[in-house]
Amino acid sequence: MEKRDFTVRNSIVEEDDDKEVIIEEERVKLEPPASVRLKSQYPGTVIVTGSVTGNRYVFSGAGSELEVNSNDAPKMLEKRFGGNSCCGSGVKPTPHFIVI
Amino acid sequence: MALITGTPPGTVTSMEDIYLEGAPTIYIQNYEAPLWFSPDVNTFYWGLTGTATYNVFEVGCISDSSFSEGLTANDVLCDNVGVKDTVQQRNFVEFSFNIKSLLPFSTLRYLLNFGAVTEASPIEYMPMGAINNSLYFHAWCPKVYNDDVGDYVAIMLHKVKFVDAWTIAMPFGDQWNAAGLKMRGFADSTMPAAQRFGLMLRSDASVI
Repeated sequence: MEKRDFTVRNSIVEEDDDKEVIIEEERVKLEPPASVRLKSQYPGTVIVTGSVTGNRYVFSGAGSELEVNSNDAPKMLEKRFGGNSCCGSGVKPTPHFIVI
Repeated sequence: MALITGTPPGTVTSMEDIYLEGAPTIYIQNYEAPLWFSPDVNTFYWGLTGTATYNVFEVGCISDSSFSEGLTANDVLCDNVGVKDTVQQRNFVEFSFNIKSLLPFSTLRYLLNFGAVTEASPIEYMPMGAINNSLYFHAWCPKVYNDDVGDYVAIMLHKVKFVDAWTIAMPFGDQWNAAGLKMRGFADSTMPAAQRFGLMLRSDASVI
């Protein structure tokens, strides 16, 4: 029966009597998508300059969506607004953007 | 028969030794957003649930809050016997409070009736223009009175707007304070008549 070697992706370990032969297969390279679609949660216009591409993204209000270069997206997804709750309600800062 | 304690005979309901203390937390959300329970299984309309398009905003660091109403009351005065009745109509209910937490502008703009904010890192713009009289909110004001088990009372106002003039005090050596904020709850004709202005609710599993 075929078994997979968990240390090498896409490999198959063939058991040949006492000897194991590891046959390497071509590694699969996963390309990140060129763009991701982000939705703004910020209650107003947000103008963002992409940290990698320098592209200018203008979200016109909460709920507006844009295709964003996938290299710019990680930095944008880190953005938050609002503070930690002052009054014990446990509300955390809200992300400016979510991936849809 | 003598009443030793003065207690009337028959069915008597006394009030509880539970005392509410301090301001509730005030949350607002654009009036266009559907309520969380709209209605619930018991046909009451209440609660907020935030979405990407319609955030729920928590109003920060409230002080000097009070809840009141505006009323029209006219006595039925009979010139031969005096006032026989008073006819009343509720005009609005109103939360008055001050706040000490003024940021971010994306929340403050609603409380002070300013314009739509724009953020272009690292700057947030808040224009001061004409007041948008078409901007209404739902308001949800819960007050937890037993943190251990989560007992709370809450005030739900279906359709509110921030009215009246505010003042921001900027004292030396003390925090800024936006005073005179009034969140007025209007009659919402889309709601059942009995819940036109909103409702109060209490959640307490030990007694209810």
